Amino acid sequence: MSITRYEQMWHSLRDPEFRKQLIDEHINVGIAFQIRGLRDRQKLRQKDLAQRLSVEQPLVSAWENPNYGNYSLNTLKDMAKAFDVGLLVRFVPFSTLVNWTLNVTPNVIAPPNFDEEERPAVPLPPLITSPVTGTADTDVYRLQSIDVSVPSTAEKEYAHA
Amino acid sequence: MANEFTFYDYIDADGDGTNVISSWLNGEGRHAKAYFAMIMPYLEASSPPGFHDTSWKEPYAKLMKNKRERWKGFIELRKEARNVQYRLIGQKEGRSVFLVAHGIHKGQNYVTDVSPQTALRRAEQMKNNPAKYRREHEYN
Repeated sequence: MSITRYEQMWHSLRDPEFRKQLIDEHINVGIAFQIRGLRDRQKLRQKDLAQRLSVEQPLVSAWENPNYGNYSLNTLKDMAKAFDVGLLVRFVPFSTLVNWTLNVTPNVIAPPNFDEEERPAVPLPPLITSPVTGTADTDVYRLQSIDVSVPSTAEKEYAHA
Repeated sequence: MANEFTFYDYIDADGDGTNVISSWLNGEGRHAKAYFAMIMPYLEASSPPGFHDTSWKEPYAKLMKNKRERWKGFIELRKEARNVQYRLIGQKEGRSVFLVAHGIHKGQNYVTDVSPQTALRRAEQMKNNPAKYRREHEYN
């Protein structure tokens, strides 16, 4: 029986040097691809993104190079605002990192921005009340089914009682 | 969701049966191993060349031409680590990418493990006899 990619990468993780490299490369490669992918999805030229972030175009070009790897947290926060997408920076077990590494899809590379989520071209899936773990593509919360309507008069009165 | 592309490693089936790509990544190429492990799934998910959003172009993958004429038509995945340029060299056909050689570029020297002729022969072997000469890229 052949072993899965996950099992293969887990084997590599037993080497501490590989674990260190993977942390770096997950950021270096992942962010570079995401900037390029988000820019394409939002039909922005490097020049347009540079203007939004008040930087020069060659810096955007450098950010899109997977060998760059010199992003600051502030830069990433500014980029998230410029693209109008969320940003997650968190510590995770290596199993999560491996799953994210091996389950890349176009939507992971270039996620929809807020407007696209608010007005999806196709109907969104049913409400998921807890995070789905396992793949990068499914590790999301869907909030569209939460009732955010204004409380009725009776509800307001009850609240103030 | 199915990948757009799949990477395959060359197996030295007529020699000692080793996976030549995997052995290099665990030996001389170990400082670039995680980089290649990261970039391959991204390239596998990318649109094919010709599409506006394809990643099958620089700086993610380089189509070899002009400068190193003998390697024309191959693609290179490149990583710099500790002042050494690591290369994985392959040939793309349809939705398959056949990794057939590796190299190091240090200073002016571009050193590969095999000649372009051998690399071409390996790619042909992988296409003509996949059960014997190729294995889906191994991440261990």
